[in-house]
Amino acid sequence: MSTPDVPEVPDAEWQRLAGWTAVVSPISTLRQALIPAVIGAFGAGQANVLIGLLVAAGIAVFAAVAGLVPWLTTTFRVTPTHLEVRKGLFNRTTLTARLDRVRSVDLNSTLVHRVLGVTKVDVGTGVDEGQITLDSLTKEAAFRLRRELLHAAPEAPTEGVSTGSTTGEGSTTGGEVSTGATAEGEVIARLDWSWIRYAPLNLRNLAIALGGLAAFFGAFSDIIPWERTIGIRVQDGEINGRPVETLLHMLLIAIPIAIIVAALIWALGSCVGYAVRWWDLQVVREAGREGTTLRRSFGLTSTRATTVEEAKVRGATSTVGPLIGLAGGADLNLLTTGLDDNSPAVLPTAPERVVSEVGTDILGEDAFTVPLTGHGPRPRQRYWFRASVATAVWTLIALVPTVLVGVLADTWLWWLPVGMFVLALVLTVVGAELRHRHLGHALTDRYLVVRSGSYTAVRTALQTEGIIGWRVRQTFFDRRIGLAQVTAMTAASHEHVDLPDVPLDTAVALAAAATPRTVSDFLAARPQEGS
Amino acid sequence: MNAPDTPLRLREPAHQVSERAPAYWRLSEAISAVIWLVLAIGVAVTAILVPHGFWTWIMWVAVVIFVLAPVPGLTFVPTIRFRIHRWEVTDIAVHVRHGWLTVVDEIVPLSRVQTVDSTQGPLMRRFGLRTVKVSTASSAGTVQIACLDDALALEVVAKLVAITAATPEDAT
Repeated sequence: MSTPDVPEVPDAEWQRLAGWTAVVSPISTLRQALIPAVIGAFGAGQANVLIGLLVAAGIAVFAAVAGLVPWLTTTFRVTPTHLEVRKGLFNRTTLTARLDRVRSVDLNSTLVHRVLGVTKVDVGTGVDEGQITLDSLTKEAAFRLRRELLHAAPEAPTEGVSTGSTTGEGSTTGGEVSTGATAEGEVIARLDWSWIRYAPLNLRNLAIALGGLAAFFGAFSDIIPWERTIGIRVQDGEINGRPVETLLHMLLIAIPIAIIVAALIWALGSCVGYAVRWWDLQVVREAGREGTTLRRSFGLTSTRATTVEEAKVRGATSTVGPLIGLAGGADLNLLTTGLDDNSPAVLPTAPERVVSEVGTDILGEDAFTVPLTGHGPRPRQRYWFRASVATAVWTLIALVPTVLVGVLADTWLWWLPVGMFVLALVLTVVGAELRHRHLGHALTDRYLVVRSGSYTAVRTALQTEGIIGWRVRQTFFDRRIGLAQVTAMTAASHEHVDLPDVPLDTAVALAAAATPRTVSDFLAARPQEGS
Repeated sequence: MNAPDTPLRLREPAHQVSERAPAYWRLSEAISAVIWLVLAIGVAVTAILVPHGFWTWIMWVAVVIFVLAPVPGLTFVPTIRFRIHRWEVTDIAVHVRHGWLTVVDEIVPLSRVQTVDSTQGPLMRRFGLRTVKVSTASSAGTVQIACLDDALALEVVAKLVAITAATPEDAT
């Protein structure tokens, strides 16, 4: 449709970003500059308050001016075939994306954006660094742009020119059509508030929260007046004038209470976080330019609406974390190209049944409940062997302080290596067994389905169409027991899907069955060696 | 998927790499062996000069390891690698096999190839060798045909470029 094009159409006028950009982008640059500004102002302010204030004001003015530049310099337009964006102050660059290569449009609004009624737009083209960002457009302009990029119906080239010109000028009509299209979409998933029960079980979020807390106190521990806030004063080996022993007794009571309080705070905080993040989640399917598109929108304070072409979704993963799995939950992520995060979560953690239903709906095939073929007894032996080695290593490590303390102080901490042995044995053996049980693969009509992982099981369904190469690796030990480490290369998500510890026969047969055209030329019967 | 009736293997790709490749591998290994040797001498001198203690024998072990580390690469490893390294380009796909302790088979369909290029370091030029690099839209999907004869490598590049240019998919 692009090659025999009419000479450039003077139709679509260059459009500016929303006027509020002049407010939004200084604020976002200011937010990025906030911490250095605070530190700089604080550092200078210790010497002289006036200088501190001046430094802070200087940084603020600089950020505001720098933030004005995008609004002054960025313009864009949609021609019948291309999206063109001009930006840059000193280096004027023109970004051009063919409309038929546009795969995703991501509308992202922070609280500031929302108050001002604007949104940031990211256009993904499937090229690795190919995101085109427009920060920010008014809501209507963003909807219209999204419609033009993804949803405008395919037309004959001649007609395309005329519609191009009308959409370029007739902004109001475009807006109306887009809202109409939104109403028509088929909702395939919606947030269910009972899912919030999984929020406190998310160990990754807990780790992030604890890390953030630690970083916060690490950064500001000098500034916080501990003595006044907590009322603890350490002096001459005594704490608040009492001997240390009394404090230790107090700790015996205080620590359990602290743990319970922390757990309650975590439960409440994670639920609030979940609610704020996933508020009003909807996954909607709409008719697009080429096939259907999927739109996921969510958020309370800052909102996000990501639209991708469904045909470009290369597959999906369902992740079952340790605690979440025990509670019957799972996470659903897509395998996509051209987004800033190419494994976007479709849903928050949800019951496995919902995950497999929505996954099936999106993939068009039931890839999440098909039975998997295991990898036989050989991986299990390997995992148990590794578990025993790991146990031995941890026990030896625990022996080191015991021996040192024993030799130097004549107190034998026998419980340390014994406890470590039991703990390591249980953890590694359970991990090994889980890893073995989770291994598996299957081949459906259009998908290669792979599952691996120990405490966290990840099941990946990758379109065989999306496999752009194979790597079959055998280490020395692999060859002795006939296993192989298989990687299916793909452009989507993490760009590879791994199938660990699979018997070589199975691996080759699987690759040949998944992509017969590519692999069949290179097959041979197994050499006769009598085994 | 069921287990296949006849057990399958990936067959050996048709062509070997250049016969000069082992010599090249040996020479580049020799260059790094010199570095190892310098390190070994450094450690040995330190071991003699500093006061002796339990660390002395650790240092001597390190010296022995530093001296012996390049020996496999100088002797039998290039021969084994030469036997294992193989490549083949059909109209449909590239198949490369390489490695010695760990053996890797890589297959990339030409319809998904994004760029084809070739590289030649100064040492490789002395040996008239060239490496062909085929990359796809996956960062995990770069395949190298290492150490071909210079002229053959350029031929392979030309062939790959011709085939990939003829397939109009967008390679993802």
